[in-house]
Amino acid sequence: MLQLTTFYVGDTLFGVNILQVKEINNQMKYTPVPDSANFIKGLFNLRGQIITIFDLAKRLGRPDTEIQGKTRNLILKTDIETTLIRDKNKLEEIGSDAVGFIIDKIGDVIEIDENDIQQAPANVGDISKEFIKGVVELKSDLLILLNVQEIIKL
Amino acid sequence: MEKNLNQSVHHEDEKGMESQSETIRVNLGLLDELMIYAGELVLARNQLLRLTTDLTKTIPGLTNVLQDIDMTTSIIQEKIMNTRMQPISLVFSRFPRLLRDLTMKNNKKIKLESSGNDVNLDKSVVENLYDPLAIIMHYLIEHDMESADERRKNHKDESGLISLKAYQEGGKVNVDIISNGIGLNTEHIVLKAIELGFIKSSEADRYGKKDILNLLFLHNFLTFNMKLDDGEGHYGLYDARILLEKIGGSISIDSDTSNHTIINIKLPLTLVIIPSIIITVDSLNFAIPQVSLQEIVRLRADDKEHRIEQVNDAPVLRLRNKLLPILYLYEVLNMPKPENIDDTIRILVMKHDENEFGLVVDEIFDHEEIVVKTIPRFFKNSMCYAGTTIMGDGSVALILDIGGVANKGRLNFTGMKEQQQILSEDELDKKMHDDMQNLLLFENAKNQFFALNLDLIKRIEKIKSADIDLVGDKEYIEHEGKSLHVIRLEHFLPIQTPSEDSEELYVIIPKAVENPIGVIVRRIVDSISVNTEIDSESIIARGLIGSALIKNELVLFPDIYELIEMAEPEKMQQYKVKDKKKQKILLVEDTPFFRSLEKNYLESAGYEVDIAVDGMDGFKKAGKKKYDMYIVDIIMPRMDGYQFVEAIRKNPELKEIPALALTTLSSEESKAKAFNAGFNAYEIKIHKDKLLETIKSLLKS
Repeated sequence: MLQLTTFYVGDTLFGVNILQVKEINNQMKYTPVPDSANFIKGLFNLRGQIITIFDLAKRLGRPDTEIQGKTRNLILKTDIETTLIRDKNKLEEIGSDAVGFIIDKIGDVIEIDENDIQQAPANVGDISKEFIKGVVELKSDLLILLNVQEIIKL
Repeated sequence: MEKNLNQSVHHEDEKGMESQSETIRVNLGLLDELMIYAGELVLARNQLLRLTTDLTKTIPGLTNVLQDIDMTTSIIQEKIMNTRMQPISLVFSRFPRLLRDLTMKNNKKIKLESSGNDVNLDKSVVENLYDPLAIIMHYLIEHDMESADERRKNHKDESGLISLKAYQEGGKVNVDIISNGIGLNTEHIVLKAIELGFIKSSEADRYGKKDILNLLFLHNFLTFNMKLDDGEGHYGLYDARILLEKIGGSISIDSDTSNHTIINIKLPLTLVIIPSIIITVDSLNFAIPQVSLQEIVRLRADDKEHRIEQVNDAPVLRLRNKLLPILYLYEVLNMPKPENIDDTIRILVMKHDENEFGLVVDEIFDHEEIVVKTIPRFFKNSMCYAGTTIMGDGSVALILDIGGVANKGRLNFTGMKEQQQILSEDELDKKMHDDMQNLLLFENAKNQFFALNLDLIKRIEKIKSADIDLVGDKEYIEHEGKSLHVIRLEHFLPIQTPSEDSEELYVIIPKAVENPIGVIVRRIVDSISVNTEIDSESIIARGLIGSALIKNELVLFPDIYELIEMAEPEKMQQYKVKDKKKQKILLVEDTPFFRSLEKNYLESAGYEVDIAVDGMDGFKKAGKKKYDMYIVDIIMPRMDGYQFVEAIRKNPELKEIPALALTTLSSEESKAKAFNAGFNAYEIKIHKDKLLETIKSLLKS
């Protein structure tokens, strides 16, 4: 069984392996970085660690995320933080720089069977195929497993 | 047999135990993490101290606890920094081998000695030190050291000596590399420079020794094939310089009378903490490493004489005898054009490689020691960032890479140099802005430099030494039909006496004194416009305001009024405050020169003086501590003197405290404006006597 942290960007439901997630917070004061990719929201200081925050909606080709009451940062673990658990749990390598995503709303933690993950045949809605690691059909929704490596590739 | 084995195992154990108790192996990643948390601890401490300032009176014992936390935190941070320190011997120990290889190849005999092996530097500095030092060694061995035969012929010891000396001085580590070969021949260097086209033969005699020696560090001046950690290639002293500058170091070369070639390197103790200056563009903070900062220029937007002009469609500033190419940081970083925050243009004069350029920013804040963190890989494309750092309020700021900014701004320095020649000397700037100090630089004994603010000088007279009359033990000259008492600096200040009187001398006559006295100086060097903070701690003497480094020379700032007091004590009135309890004055002044001068006056008159650097800072400080009086400059950034006093008069707790406007403006208009704003008195900066009298009467009432 596989535990996923789920979240919404707009109405689309996404999931990442819960072991990949460091924390979720609502610190919305970023330092913007001029002369950088337009889907990078900026930097913030998480207990001395510098986190690069990506605007996930923008990265997926949608308009900029509007910061509202339920907006959160989803912070991922760096490779150093996942060293001991990465291979065993098939986590993605994301490098040594800490990253996080702005998301519109946090969802439930759900448990799925790895066999339920299907390959995405093509783009799903407006989400380009390369960003999708797989899809899971839930009762009421289609869950997209995010390809983090691809999202943060510049 | 078995017994023997046991014994030896036992022996090993004991040895193991011993070394174990002194050192353990620690993962470097762990140390880096510790350092991050220590930085975090410092931030939390700062916040704690800020939040609890008001509580210390109501909670007994809190002050002690806070002091403990404060001190312990600083110690922890320092100790963790220390764990990353490594001895310089790690680098020095690699040189015997290099020396062996090179001397064999060249048929030379050279001994190597080193001292200061236990001087410690941050790991990041140590790791990057071998290559530049190897280039320097290579240079000395190939170009300074003679072969054993030649040395014998010249009655020298047949084996040469190269010494490596490391020592700590101030906040820096110095490494001297000294070789006793043929020494430096400036004529040869000049010939080579002419041959390579670096200088014109017609200009050659304009170069001093220092300038000539600096030619050695130019690109492609002298290179040799050698192998470094990075691989084999052609390297020269230029490369050594660049490698050292990358780790915040600097290099200079010299020779002494006995033909020793001396190369001096200055290194920072650590790269992890660097001095920097914080600036903003569009309210966004950036840190700029201070190594590349030359000076700060402020221009008033309405200043017709000093403004940014277009030359070949590129913005430039005429600064002294140079055309300084200008970059707008917002343009380089593709930011929206910021709105002007006030009518001042702030320019940082930066130096990158050999080239200077001006960087226009919105605001310039204080110098700060920042902890450097790496730049995330997502921003490497920009080339403009060297790292990130965490500010006092916990927010993240980007550290600019000045080389990257210059490249991105596509500065064309070569075109600029040609343009500079067209500039006629008459067009040189005279006065930049009130914030800039216009100084007269002069020399007394050889290579001993002094500076006086031009605002303090009434006139400078050229005289012949024969014109000086000695009356009693005092010297006089005739000036405007009267006899003028003249003094010599070396009679009142602990400085060198010039070796002999030159025929021509200069007399500086100060402004605004009751009994004029002239100061004799040997040589007027230059009049310059700089923004330097005067250091009043390092060199302290009566008659001196302090010292500053200007263009790498130590310059002393005499206190002309104190000198006059020393020369004619009977004529000067004494304003010493006799009360045991010192009265407290808040001095709000943005120009460093006047700040030091006025503070000196007030303190020598017996007042306790606190300083604020502009109106905003002053208002904050006024709210924290009770002062007996405010002395305030009028023209200041952020909040000027009028705004400051208006704010004070609106505050029910502060409104009764007298405020004195201290200014260089002496028009009736500005005087009226000052009284309207709420000042109780209005004085001109350089009238010391009158100022002290006014202060005294204001404090009495």
